[in-house]
Amino acid sequence: MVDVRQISRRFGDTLAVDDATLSVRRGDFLTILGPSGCGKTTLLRMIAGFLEPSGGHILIDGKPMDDVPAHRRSIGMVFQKLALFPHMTAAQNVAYPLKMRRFERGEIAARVDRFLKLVRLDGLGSRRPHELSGGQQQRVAIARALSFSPDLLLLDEPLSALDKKLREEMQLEFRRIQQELGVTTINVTHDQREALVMSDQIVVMDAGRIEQDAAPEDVYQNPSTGFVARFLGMTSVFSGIVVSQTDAGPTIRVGDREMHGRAGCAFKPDDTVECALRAEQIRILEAGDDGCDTQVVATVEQRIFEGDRVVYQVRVPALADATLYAFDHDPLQHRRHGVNSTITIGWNAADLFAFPVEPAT
Amino acid sequence: MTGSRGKSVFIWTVTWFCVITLSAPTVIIIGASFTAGEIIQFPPDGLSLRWYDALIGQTAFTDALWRTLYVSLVCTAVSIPAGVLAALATVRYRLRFRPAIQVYLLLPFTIPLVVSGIGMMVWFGELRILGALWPVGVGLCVINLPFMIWAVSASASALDPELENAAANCGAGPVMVFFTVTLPAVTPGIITGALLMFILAVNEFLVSLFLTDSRTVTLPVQIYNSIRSVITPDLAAISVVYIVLALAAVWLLDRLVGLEIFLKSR
Repeated sequence: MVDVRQISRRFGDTLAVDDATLSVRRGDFLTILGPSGCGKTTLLRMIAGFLEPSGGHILIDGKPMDDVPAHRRSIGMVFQKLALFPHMTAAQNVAYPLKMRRFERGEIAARVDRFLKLVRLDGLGSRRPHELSGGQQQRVAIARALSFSPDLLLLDEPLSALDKKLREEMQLEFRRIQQELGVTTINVTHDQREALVMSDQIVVMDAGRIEQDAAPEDVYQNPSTGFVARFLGMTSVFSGIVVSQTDAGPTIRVGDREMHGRAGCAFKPDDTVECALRAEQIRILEAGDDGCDTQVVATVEQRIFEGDRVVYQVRVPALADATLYAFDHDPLQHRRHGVNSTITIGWNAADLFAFPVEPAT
Repeated sequence: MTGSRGKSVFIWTVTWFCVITLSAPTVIIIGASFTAGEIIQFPPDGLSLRWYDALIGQTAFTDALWRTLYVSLVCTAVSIPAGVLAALATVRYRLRFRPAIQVYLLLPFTIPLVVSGIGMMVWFGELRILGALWPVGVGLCVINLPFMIWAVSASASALDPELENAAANCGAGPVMVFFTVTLPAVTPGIITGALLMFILAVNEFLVSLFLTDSRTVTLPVQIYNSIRSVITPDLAAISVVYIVLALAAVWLLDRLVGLEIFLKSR
């Protein structure tokens, strides 16, 4: 439905988007995920037609968009700052794209009603944006973006300004509306939770480049680069040296220990690698429990209580003093390990990702 | 205790001094206009409306008033498109030589009115339009345009450029974006600027003096001409008409730019 082919955008000396290629299937929800400044919003604005690419092409429904100005593209967009028209009521905002696209008068009234209902704002159509709450303004923006049945919906971090509870509510709301209408959607966010909850497909970006393009589970469970592994989830990172490589994966020496891991590529002995380990995959072991492929003794440096779980920050002398993070979700065991106490932790070879060390940028 | 008392005495003294100095001429002229006597004096010699009555009879004043209003309307009408476009261009677009253009647009402020007046008189003479009434309005527009640009610029820089993107995204072409989003957003600035331009044009004396002759004389120039012959209380009466005009403009400004509240987002 949407094809972005080798697109780049240069601002002065910096490449904001560098050779990005992605495609979205009709009806899918794709999220572009990345830290601020990674080029995700630039990419979105090129799809919307507000910015011209410095190179590459965008195709919507197979048609190249090179010479199609923003107002001729059938795209609805929800802006980061919403950009509701302040001098119009909620209903006039929703009617605006219909008027501009020359819908019939009766059709406009019917659609305004239908879409205000869809976003649960029936009865508030006569209010102006400043008379509505943040969540309500958000809904007006969604209704405005969808009222003319665009082929494509773009979301430019519209949820980032909301508080956590409202944000999580709106995430589900977006997903509900998107699935109800079956509209193809591209969402941009730096919030990994939002990306995982809402998307059919996630594109992870960093420094203008696409790092990984896959389904949410895949991105989380099989990160293709060290950046993706670090960006999603609570991840401990330490470096090691490859001892040997078999089909099952590399054997890596970290400090004075050797351990098995897995990798997406084949290493040569003596390669330096970056090892990544997710906090939820580290088990805190009882005495005599040896169900893990790798076990080490660690010292608790910090104990962080997060309500539904406790996070332990531990130091592992055997791994060249690497710092690891482990979760404890079991309320019965909370508080059992104080700071400076010694615990045994372990993990399985399949959960230790090894990545080539990225050149410093 | 005494310190704060002394401070408050000082502040009130200064305040009253300013209030009296600023309003005394107005109060005196209003009082003098209601005199029943033959000369301008304050306090007035009896109360009557005879000088207002006399004013209505003097076609020199009433014709000059209508000409002034006509000239001011021309000035305002010209200044709206010119000021709006200049302000939007300098605020919203990354023009080349933007600082130079901004300085150029402020030039009328820096040039003495006498110089502008003489310049326009010579130029209008060359164009053979000196002696017509409408060029006076254009001339007044030129010298006061920075006020219009300033008022619209203030509104335009408060306008979120994303709104124009949003409108384009909704399917509005550039012309529709301008009329449905940009223009409503700068409307408070246009109203402020237009009223300012109107009242400045009504009051403008020096440049009008150069650009008018006996057939096209405007009210300020007419008053000046009258002072040079006989000073009678009808001058005070016409001045009060002026004050009322100015107050009406301020009242209108307050009423209309109260609209600004509705135009504010969040």
